[in-house]
Amino acid sequence: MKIIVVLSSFIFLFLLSTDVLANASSCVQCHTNEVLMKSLHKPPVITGGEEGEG
Amino acid sequence: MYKGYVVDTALIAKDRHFRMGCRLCHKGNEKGQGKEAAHKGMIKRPSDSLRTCGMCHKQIADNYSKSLHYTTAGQRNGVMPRFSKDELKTFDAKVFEQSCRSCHASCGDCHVKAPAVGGISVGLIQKHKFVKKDEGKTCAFCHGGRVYPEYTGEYGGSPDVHYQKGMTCMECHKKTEFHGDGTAYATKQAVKDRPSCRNCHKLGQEAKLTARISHQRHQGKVSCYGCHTATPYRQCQDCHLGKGAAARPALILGLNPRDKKTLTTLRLIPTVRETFVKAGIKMENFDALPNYWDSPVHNIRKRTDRTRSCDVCHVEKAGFLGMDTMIRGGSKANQGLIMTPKPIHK
Repeated sequence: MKIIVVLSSFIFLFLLSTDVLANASSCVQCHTNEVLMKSLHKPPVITGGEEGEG
Repeated sequence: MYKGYVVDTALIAKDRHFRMGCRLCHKGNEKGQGKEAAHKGMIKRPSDSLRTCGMCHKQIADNYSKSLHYTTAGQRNGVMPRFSKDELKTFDAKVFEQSCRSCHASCGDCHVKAPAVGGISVGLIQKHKFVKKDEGKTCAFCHGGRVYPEYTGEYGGSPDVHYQKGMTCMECHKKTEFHGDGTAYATKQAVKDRPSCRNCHKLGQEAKLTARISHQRHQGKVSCYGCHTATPYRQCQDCHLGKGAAARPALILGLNPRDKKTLTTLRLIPTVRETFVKAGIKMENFDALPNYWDSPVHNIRKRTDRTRSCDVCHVEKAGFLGMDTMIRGGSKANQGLIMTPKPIHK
């Protein structure tokens, strides 16, 4: 039992140090939430319509 | 527009692009609390640097680095003969990178997020899926001033018959044309394996005898577009002049400036004498090039006014470039594009 606890703690700490769990709580957390995106989005300032090859 | 920033959760589990996390390409601060903190140091458009996608797609990235869609060298090479040596240096330093080259397409512009035009973008093409193609959200945005609306009929008149048959851009324009083959072509006309009508439409196999005879008589003298462009298309005037552009529809027929022997559809291009005045460039050799260039107008029909009657060209000379229809103050080279069709004896 002791070994299992130690091993689980080790794996948890390892995952915390990698990007795997970080993704679950950062970029992905916001950018998969449509309601949140709507509240945060600010329309861009229109500077001109001259871009584009045509 | 906020929907353009929403990522599909299902993709994150399935798509191998997400395996290494967002930070691999976008950098930023994943542990940051709130939008500003999380976006600190973030790269909005990671594929602007070809090294990003080149981490895995090395060959494509290497080829693309020389592709005209990436370098936009065709724009520079197209206008270059108008400049003196000093003017070219000024153009490269002050104009090309800052202005013309803003049109270059990154990998993401075609495969991830629709390109912005005038600061406006619909955002992620399919919720951050790495799409192979979605012409309505990619090609249509950058080429939405002329080619695309002419193709779909949105500009007025009839749509291109290929569009009506369900063909989108990449039915003819293959990925090697965009990704490139590693050759730094100077112009799009030089690109190997670019589309040609004859790839599908073979001469000598026409269903109607009249069509076969007409093709035989005009082969080498008239381009496919010369007869099969259906309606007037956009002619851009007064662009890049600050006071705004005026686009008018017209169908213009004249000699192809590249060979001076083939009659084809011409399009007025926006470069006028004052175009680069603000950068201190007068264009000392402005008259070296015409203001009209051969244009493969994407508004094709089998039957047009010109295919129905020989008189439209040989008697009425409808649409032919002339001294009276030419732009005022234009290049002296324009006169070399005037072609008077020979009368035909019936």
